[in-house]
Amino acid sequence: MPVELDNSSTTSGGEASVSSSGNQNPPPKSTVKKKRNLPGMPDPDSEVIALSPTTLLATNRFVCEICNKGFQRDQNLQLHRRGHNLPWKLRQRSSNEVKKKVYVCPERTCVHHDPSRALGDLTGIKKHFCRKHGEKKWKCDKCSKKYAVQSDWKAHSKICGTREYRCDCGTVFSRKDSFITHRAFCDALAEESTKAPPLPEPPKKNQNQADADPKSNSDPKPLTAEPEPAKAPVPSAAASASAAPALPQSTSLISSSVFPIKSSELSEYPIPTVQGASVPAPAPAPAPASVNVNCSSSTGSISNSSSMFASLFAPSTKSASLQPQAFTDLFQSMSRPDRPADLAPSTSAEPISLCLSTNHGSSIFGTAGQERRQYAPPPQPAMSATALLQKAAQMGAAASNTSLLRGLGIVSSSSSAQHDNLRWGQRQAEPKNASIAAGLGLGLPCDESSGLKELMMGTPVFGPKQTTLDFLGLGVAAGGTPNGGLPALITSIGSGLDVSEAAASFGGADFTFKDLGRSS
Amino acid sequence: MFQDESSPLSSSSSPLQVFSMMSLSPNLGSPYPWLRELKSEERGLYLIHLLLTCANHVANGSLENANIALEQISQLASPDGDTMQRMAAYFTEALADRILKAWPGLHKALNSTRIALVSEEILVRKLFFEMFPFLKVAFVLTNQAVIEAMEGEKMVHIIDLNAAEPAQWVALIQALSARPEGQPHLRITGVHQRKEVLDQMAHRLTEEAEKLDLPFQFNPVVGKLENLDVEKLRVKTGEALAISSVLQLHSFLASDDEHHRKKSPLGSKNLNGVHLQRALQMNQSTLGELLEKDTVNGCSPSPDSASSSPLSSTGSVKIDGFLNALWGLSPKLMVVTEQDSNHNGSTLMERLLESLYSFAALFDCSESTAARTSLERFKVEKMLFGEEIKNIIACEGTERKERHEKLEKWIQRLNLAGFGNIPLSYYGMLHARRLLQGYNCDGYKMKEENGCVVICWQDRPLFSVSAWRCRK
Repeated sequence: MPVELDNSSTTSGGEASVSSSGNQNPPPKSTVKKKRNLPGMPDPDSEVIALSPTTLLATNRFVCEICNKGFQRDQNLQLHRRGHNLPWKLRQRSSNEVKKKVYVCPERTCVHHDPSRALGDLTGIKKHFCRKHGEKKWKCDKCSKKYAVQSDWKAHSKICGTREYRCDCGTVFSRKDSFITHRAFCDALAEESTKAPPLPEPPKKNQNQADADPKSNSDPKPLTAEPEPAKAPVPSAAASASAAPALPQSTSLISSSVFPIKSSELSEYPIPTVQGASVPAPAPAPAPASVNVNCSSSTGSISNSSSMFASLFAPSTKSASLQPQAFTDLFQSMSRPDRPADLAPSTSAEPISLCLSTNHGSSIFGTAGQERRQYAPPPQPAMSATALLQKAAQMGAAASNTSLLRGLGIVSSSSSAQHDNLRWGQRQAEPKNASIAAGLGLGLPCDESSGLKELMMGTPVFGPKQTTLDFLGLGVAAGGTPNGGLPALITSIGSGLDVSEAAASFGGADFTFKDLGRSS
Repeated sequence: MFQDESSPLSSSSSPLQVFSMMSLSPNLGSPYPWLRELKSEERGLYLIHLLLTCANHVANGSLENANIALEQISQLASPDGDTMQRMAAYFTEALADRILKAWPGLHKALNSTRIALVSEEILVRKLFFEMFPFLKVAFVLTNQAVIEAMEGEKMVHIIDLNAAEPAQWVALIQALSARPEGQPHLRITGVHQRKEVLDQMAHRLTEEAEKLDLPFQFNPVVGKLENLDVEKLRVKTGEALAISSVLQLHSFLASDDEHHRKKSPLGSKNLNGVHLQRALQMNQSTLGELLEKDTVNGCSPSPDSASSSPLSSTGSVKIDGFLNALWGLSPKLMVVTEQDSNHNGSTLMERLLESLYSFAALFDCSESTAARTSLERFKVEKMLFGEEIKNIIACEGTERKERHEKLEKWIQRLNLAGFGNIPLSYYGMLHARRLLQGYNCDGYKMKEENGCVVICWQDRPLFSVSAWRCRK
């Protein structure tokens, strides 16, 4: 409720009023809710009152002449004067319409000095004046914040220290939204530096970790002069064998290389190396703070609230990441005694290790944490389903361009570099056809599903011994395709093709298709 | 009967090592010993081949061959193996279900004692929300669009067409109560089939609003979305309305489309389809319908745009009706999240091929998210992905609800219904990207397409989010 206070010229203090105003009692509380203007945008036909700083700051403007007791309101003074048996007069509320009063700030440079930006509340203008143009006389005893207005100080000291949010870089926040905004940008900085070319030199890590946060308690610096990336060749082989002794090595690799990637999310994990690389360590606070100020001033509450969303939706992963803390402690304790000292640094292996460990790591951290202790890496990196489909489509598309046999021969021999030879590939005695290889190399332009359809048609020939030209011919000739086009070919194959014939020619292949060829 | 595995394996691998690479398969004494010796990639390729063969047989009605193929697949597929094995398991289950529907009595009998555990369903949806970022990204983008559209509004009314996850609105409540111009009066109307879900949502949201002292009201509307009467939503004049639809609109495309089914397997074009199919793309009758319906904005969507098949084909009645009803509410904003894949082809083979690619991406994503032994992952795969696959593959007509379509078709549809696209804001996308980065998975990608956001796994688009306004 806006409080109208008397500021008539009867009081001392040398105030100037733009227009005289009658003495008024505070209006009775009305049941109708008053319309509030937005702060700084007053009602156009309200009365503007300018008070001097002295008047504004004066606490007790009304003084009893007898005993010099000060009162904030004239009515109170009048009532007091009754006690001295002095003549007193309580002014009634003026009968005419109450004119709304607005106040301007006496400070000339202030935006509220302009009558069009006056504030509608005397208490409000008093507090504003003190806050902005006054001296901060009240200090919080827990932290070092100072306030000019006593009520602000009281409000702050109630919540000071009750809740705090701590970012990895050491900055402490009492407000959740400012913390989140800061952390979004702080993490972004940290993350960008990790996503950049992988940690350049291992020795650099050590230097940076020296000036890293002292608060990092969960991860005592294991990143000694030993270069972890060197372990990459070992785990990639060890992983495939999934031998138990290899596990600590790979896990220590996980612990070291996973952190930079996950820095954005696992805030409990200090990321000394990365942070040292990205944000100058001696000034972790100012740098993120300046970023924070910039972002909050430029984006305002929009980014605050949106980053609230993002963080609100991230808590599940965050909480999931709380659990692996113990997990990585386990890693740390396991890894330290196992650390071999004879590994040569090889940064080229780092991305592979990151890749591998990310794979492991994400599957660990992604679960609800139940499986993390039972997790065992797969025996070999399995091809993703998407990759398999594409490969199948390519194989099928290759078949449509040339003879399927040769296509398979090419494909299998090219893939044999990565995997053990596909058995059917081994059986191929076909000479390589340069044009086919070129065609394959060009990247078969067929659509994916067309490739699949051809694959379907073609791959009964999994263990071919003979050329498949007759097979294809069989399909085309026997089908009697009704409407032409590839899919029709497929249907005709499905119904008309006698696979058993083709299968019968594959004597000696590893797998037979006799069972497929059951014609009914 | 079957050729005994007398010929030795390639000498490089010992039987034990090979065996260890196979997934846990109970069929040790299977009649297909040679199948066990396949390595993961070969097995995967073989599975793809078998799946396609089987589907082809099913599509042609040659059930005996289909049976053989199913038998073989069952030797290799497994719901706790690698991604291809899992996919094969669910796809074959769907194919088998489809075959079984040819004997309706048998099918009904086998499913007669199945009970749907509500708690499990709710749990699975929650797991999907937690494990994967798709819904979270959608929520972040939706909320950001709501905040921006509602700038300056004092009375905000939000309609959630599937009010299952309180987290979205909790975040919105927090954001709205912190906005500089002051708190609005917020009303959220949630639609859901289950009363318990709505009760829980009401409780959570009112608790949050009370904490922040935001004037708030939650109105539950219990019932199926397709039977929704928009009057029940009680939209009042003077309030700013926003509608959020997360994966709900595609079920309105379901219709009894027997008479429209094209005989040839070519059907309507799908994005990955063979170029040969282009020739048969435009069906003359439906083109006429399309042009007829186009009265709203006066522009005619180009009929031979590369990837659109006739829009107003079967099933358009329900969706148009629904969109018109929503349009009639004059929402200030509508945010639509949908799957971005074409699973609505008219033939089985089309749908199978498309869904193989989409679900391959989803299963790969799942593989990167959780361990193979994870029970949560299994539940999501079985009860969410598996059921979707079953619906896409095994069901037809009005039963087939999972009629996902590509984003451009939704854009066309919404344009026709009188909605105009609002590009999603930069800040929304920024925070969505940050959220994706926090997921420790390199595979998630987000790209912008005509003001809409598409969330992909590697290169495969999976979900799209777009914002719309009512265009008079």
